Parts: sequence; structure tokens; C-alpha cells
Amino acid sequence: MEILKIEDLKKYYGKKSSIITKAINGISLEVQNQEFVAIMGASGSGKTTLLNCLSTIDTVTSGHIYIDGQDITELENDELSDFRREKLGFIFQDFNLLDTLTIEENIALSLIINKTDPKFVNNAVKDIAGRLDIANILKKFPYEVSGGQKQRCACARALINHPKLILADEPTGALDSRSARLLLETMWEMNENLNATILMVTHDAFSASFCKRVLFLKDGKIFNEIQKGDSPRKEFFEEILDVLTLMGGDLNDVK
Amino acid sequence: MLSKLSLRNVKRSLKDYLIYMVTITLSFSLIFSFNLIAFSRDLTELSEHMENFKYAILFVSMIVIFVVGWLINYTMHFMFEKRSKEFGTYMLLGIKKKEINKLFLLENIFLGSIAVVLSFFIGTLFSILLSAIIMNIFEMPYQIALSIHITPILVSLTYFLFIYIFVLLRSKRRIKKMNIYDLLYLEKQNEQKMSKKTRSWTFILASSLGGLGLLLFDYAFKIVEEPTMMIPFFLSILLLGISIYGLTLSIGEFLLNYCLKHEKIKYKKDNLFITRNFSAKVGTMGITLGTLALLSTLTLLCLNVSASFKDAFENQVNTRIPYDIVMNKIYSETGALHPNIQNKDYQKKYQESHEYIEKRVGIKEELIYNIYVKSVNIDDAVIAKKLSSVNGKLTFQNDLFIKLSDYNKLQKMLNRSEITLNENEYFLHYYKELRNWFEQLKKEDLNVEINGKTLHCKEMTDKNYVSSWNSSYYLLVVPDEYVNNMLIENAINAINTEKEITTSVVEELKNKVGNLEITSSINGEDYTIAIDTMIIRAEVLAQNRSAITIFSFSLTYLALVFIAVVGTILSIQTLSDATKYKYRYDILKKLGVREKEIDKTILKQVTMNFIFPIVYPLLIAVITTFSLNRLFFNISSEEHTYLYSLGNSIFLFLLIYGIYFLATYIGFKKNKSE
Repeated sequence: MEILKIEDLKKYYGKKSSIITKAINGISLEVQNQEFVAIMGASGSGKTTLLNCLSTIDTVTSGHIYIDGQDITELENDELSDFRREKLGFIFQDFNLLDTLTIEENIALSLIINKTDPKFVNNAVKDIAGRLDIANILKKFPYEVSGGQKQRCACARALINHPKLILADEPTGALDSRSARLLLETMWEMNENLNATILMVTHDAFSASFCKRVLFLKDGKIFNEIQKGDSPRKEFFEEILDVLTLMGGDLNDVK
Repeated sequence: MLSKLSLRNVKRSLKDYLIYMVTITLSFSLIFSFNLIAFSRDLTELSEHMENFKYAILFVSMIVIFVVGWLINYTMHFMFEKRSKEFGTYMLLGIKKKEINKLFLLENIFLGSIAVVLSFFIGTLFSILLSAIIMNIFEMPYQIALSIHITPILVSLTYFLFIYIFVLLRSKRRIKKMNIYDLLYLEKQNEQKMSKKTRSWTFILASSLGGLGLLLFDYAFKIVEEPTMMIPFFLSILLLGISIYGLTLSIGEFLLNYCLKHEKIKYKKDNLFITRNFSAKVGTMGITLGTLALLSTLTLLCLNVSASFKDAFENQVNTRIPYDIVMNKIYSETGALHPNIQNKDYQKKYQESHEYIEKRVGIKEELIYNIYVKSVNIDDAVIAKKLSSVNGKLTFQNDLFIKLSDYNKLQKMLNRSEITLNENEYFLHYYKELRNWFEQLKKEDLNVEINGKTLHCKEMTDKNYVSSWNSSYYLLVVPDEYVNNMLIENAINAINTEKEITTSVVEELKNKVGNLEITSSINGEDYTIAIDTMIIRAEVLAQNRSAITIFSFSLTYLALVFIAVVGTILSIQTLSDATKYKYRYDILKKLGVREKEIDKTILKQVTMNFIFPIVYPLLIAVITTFSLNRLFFNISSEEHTYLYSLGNSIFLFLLIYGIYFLATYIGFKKNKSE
């Protein structure tokens, strides 16, 4: 079953009279339930714009985006808020945790916003925190824990609502390599064991190699697409590097 | 080059500087306008007592300078924080601290000078308004006349200079102590936190100190007539001050703990978000909030006392002398037997004065009435004896009587209703101050025997008692026939004049009559007692109006400055939050909270910011009003006047406060959406 379907999506910047930047120039793709997809591309390839459109925090120029069967390009402001709240989960590069709330409360925030019965909140938070291995830091404030722990907290917040789709924007961008690896393993487990559908935007081949499928963007279009299949992660990583070389992207973008 | 850069910076951050400018311009305008009226010759010449107005304002100005200095220092600190990154970058680029300090200094002097110039115009306008109000109190016609005096301008400039030197020295020290890291990462500094245990202890201690302070305050006004009342009074002020700071520091955490303990509250709506933000705020700026609460308390107290004073002084004139002139025709202390009753000298003086009054201001109506005593034997005075026994402190000499017909005529002169008495009844009218003792007497047998007949008390009241009716605190009104065999204690003339009595007429009358001096002998020694033989309403009125102006204006001045300071600092704080919290609202928005819900949350946050520092002050204001009423009770116009005064002051306070709140909320929403 498909969770996400994008039909000929276009996003242009600039006024009519002046030069137009075609950030996304006709992208179509589908993401199935329980998939773990990475979207790769160099800076300026349109991957962040795509994610913003999917996150419903940016509008599209033309085309359609269906998430869970609903065309989000036709929703109004308040409906979009409701949609984000009910159907989407987010993991951002800079964590986006509220510094005045504890880790526990940050995770609970998602449930509170969804007006979950207060009775169930505590147990739900404990449950998800246990799965993501952050149960021991629940009472701490974001500034008291490491970046990796913060990002796992963000994952927990994204997961706790059982969203249809989790959108991750460079989730390892602010982490050291060890924490990054731990987080990616966590995300892999989220996908594998908790049946979460995840769409991750990254320019890091190592991160992408944890996914089941990788899409490559260039100049606002899909340049290539590879499947992991049954091959081991290391092999898949090599494969991704090959495509990147083929694309001729700046090698600085490849870690 | 540097000044060019500085000017350009000011231009760029003009919006941020707007609050700062409005703050200092308004404060300076207030200071300037009050100085203008304090030194205004038109006002000081209104009455001889108005000279004191100048000194009252000068004294109050000392406090005002201190508070305004604090405010400007605070706003400057705020501006400094806002631009810390800019200064940090300058330093990183190799500009010396000295240069940066000079830059900041230049900007502030530039803005300060603009504020000073502006405040001279606004202050002049304010002062015209204030003069009009004072003239209105004195019922004088007021013509707008701009007279520029050099003294108030110089005095105000000195104040401004003082404030600025203080503030600039502080900012110089601040810059000196900063290093690049601090400047670049000032916003990242974490809040200092008290431990949970300290907080709850602070909360408990502060609450009990507050309770104790209020009790002591009440006690001080219970023994208000004794000189020792100052000890509990100042102690209570100290305790209340400590408790205000203590409670402000600890209540945020207390609320938070309460919210965290109850899951139903914690996970409902935006409660968690708001209380967390709030307690973080109290954690970082608790002392400032405490000072704001203290200033709010002072504002409310100033307004309340000012309103009570105004009412009391206005009412006092009517209690003391509602007639234009009351003068003694003859005076004796112990009735007809006193030799002074035949004092030929005084009789002559009375005649002369009476003629003078008739000639100068005309007599519209007058009543000469007698005050009687039953006998010179004090044992015959039933009420006086009983009063002396229940009171213990005061000794009441004799019961004074007045004919019913005279009493009714006196009432009629004041357009008040007349009373009727049956043959065996009398009416007891007494001064409010004696209420407690007369209440006690109510249970006792108050029958009075006159000419072999027994009269019982038909009614006793303290309402509308006029103290210039006679020389005592109470009066027995009896049917006319009973005074036939009594001795005349006093003969008094109550006069309403045709024309208004001016200050010059008052002076001349005083000189004409002078005081009556009687010699009486106590324990073999002769004492000379001076008696006020004439009371002129116009004179009392002038005195009281001066007192009203001096008290009310000084207190209102303080109140206005305080509330402006509280409003401005809260406004600045909240608006800077808007920028800081933008990130938080963005997260909420991304997580799917509707725009409207976020606006609601903002409204709640701004409301909490504004309500928090005034809840405890309001509570203190309400409770202390009941204590203060012990002082004002005797001289206030109506039974519940103090409640009106309280209501009025709270209303005025909330009105001004509300304007700040509204402006802040609108600004907050605007800042957020930018």
C-alpha cells in the first residue's frame, strides 16, 4: 500500500518577470508502507524544498502530493496544521526540542497537541523511551544530554503518535560519527520493528546506506534510484558512492 | 567614522530603541512637569500652605530619580543584550573595548538628548494639565499661561544628568567586564536555579512572613494614636517587602510543581508549555519581578492613601464647619457663673467683627443660639459620667444641651431635614470618634432627669455631626421648655454670608477678633487658655485644599512613575521574549498546532507575565485598606468610603496597566509574525 504519492511536483521561485529558479522541476515518486527511503543530492539539488513541500510548511507551484490518500496541496492553513499533527512525524537536523521542557515532556508534547487523554500519556512516553533507550534521561533537560540523546528524543516524539509518515531532515547532521551510527541503527529499528515509514533527506552516503531505497536528486529532478534489496549495507554504501560519482557532484558533499 | 556607524546603528534598530525612547521621554516628562508645577508661582500663591508643596515634590523627586535611574539602567542593559552579538563581532574584528564603549555612549547620549528635548515639550503640556487640576481643587479660574522659569528647568536638568551619569557609569563597567565569548553567546546563558527544597522553604517562609507583616500592619493602626505604632509599622513594611521578594522568587516553581504533580493538568492543553516557560522566566528574572511586585504594591498603596486623604480632607471641612462663619458671642467654660461672660472687651470685639462681616461680605442668614448645662455640678451630667467610665482615657466635663428649635434651625441652614421629639424624649448627636463608647452606652440606662421629669433617649447618631456647634464631642437636643432653668454655657453665632470670603477678608477678621484668652485656675495655679473664637470656612478650606494637593499630588506622582516603570519593564521583557520564543512557536507550528491556538497560548503567556507581579500586591492592597481604615474612619465622609477609595485606586491602576498590557500583546503578536 502506498503512503506517499507525488505527481509531477513543481516548485518555482522568483517573480514572473524576473529569472525563475526551478527548485523542483517535475518529480513523481511513490513510497510504500513501511519503507525507509533516503533522498540524496548536493546542496541546491532541491531536496530541502521537496521535504518542505511534503512537510506542508511550503506550498507547491503545481502537481499533487498524496499522503495517506489525501491531497495535501488542496488543504487550507488550519487543515494543514491538523494534518501535520495527525499524520506526520518530524526529525530535524537541529533537534527542535523545547529547551524549557524535560526530555519526557518534549516527547509528551506530541500527544498533548493531539489532545490525548492525560491518563495515557505517561505510559506511552515510558514505552517509547524504553524502546529508544532513553528511559534513563527522561527527567533531564535538553541542555543536560548529548546530541545523540536529543535526536533520539526527537525520534520518540515523532514516533509516539504513530504517524503515517516520518520525515527526517539531515537527522545526523549535528552528530558525531558514533552518535550518528547509533541514531541510524535506531531509525532502522524503528522502520524494521515498529513499522514506521520513514523518508529521510540527507547528503551523507553513510546515512543513506541504512535505507532500503535511495533516490538521487539533481537540478530539481530525480537523477537515479537504487534499491538495497538483500545486499549487505557495506555493498549498498559502495553502490551509493558510485552513483554520486556518476552524478559528478562535489565530492565535498560525500563523506 | 565611529559616530557615523553609531548613528546608522541607531537608525537600524530604531524599532527596538522605540521602547527605550518612549520610556525615558515619558519619565523625564513626568519629572519635568511636576517640577514645573512645584515651582509655579501661581500655585504656591494659592495659599500660604502651598509653599510646602514644593518641598513635598522635591522630596518625592529623590525617590523618583532613583526608580527612573533603575528603569533606564534596565532598558539600557536590555538594549546592550540585544546588540551583544554586534559588539562581540566588533571586538572579534579588533575594535577596542574603549571604542565600543564610546560608540554605545555616543548613541545613548544622542538618544538621551532627544528625549530631554521632547520631554520639555510634553512635560510642559503635562504641567498645564496638572495646574488646571490643582486650580480646580481650589475652585479658581485657570487661564493657560506659559511662563518659563529657569529654576525648574535647571533642577530637572540636574536630575537627568544624575540619572545619566549613574547609568552610563554602570554600562561602562558592564562593557569592561565582558569578553568576546560572553558577548557572542550572551543569549545562550542558562538560568540559575534554586534547588527545589530551597524554593519550597522560601515559599513557606515568605507566605508566613507576609501574614505576619499584614497582622503587624493592622496592629500598628490599632494603636495608631500611640507613638510606639512606628515600631510595628516599619517592621511590617520590612516583612512585607521580604515576603514580596520571597514569594515572587518561589511561586513560579510552586505552580510548576503543582502542575507537574497532577497529570490531568500537566498533559492538558498548553499548560505544560506555559508553566515551564513561566517558571524558567521567574528563575532568570525573579529579582526583577520581585521589584516590580514591590513597586506595584507601592503604587496601589499610594493611590489608595491618596484617595482616602482626599476624601478625608474634603469631608473634614463639612464636619468641622459647614457654615461660612461660626463665632462665639460669649464664651464660658462653666456656664453663667464664669466671669468672662461679662468680658466687656470681648463683647466689643464681637460687635466690631459682626459689623465688619456685615459690611464686607453681607449676612445672608444667621442664628445665635445658646448651649446649656444643667448645673456646674459635674455629678449631674449623666452621659459625661458614663462616658468617662467606659472610656477611661478622656474625662468628659459636662453634658451640653441645645433647644430643639435651635437645633432644627441649624440643620435647616444646611438644608438638612429637621427632627421631632415627644415631650419626654431627647436626641443624642455625637462625634464619630466616640462611636465605640457610645455603642457600649446603648445597653445602659441613659435616662436624663430635667426639672423633675425623666427624658429617655429617642435616638443617638454620629451622622452629620458638626464639631463647631459647640465645644464638646456630643450634644443633647431637648424640647425647648426644658432649658428654661438651665445655665447658659455658650452663646454662638452661625453665619452664612452673602458674598464669598476671600483670603484678605479672612486675614482682617482674624486680626480684628484675635483670640479670646481666659484665665482659669487649676490646683491654685493660673493658666491662660487661648480659645478659637471664630472659625471661618474659607480658611479651613484653603488649608485642606493645600493638604489635598500636597498629599494627593505627591502620592499620585509616585504612583504614576512606579506604574510606568512596572509597565515598561514588563513590556520590554515580554517583547524580548517574543523574539526569543519565536523558535518555540515555530516548533509548535511544525508539530501541527494551529495558528489560532498559538495566538491563544501567546495571550495566556502575556497575561500571565502581566498578572503575576500584581496578584500579591492586590491582595496586600485590599487587606491593608481595612487596617488603614482605622486611621481614616473618623474623618471619612461615609461608612464605606474606604471601599470606594480602594475600588477607585484599583480601577485606575488596572486601567493604566491594561494599556501597557494591550500595547505589549499587540507588539508581541507582531514580533512573532515577523
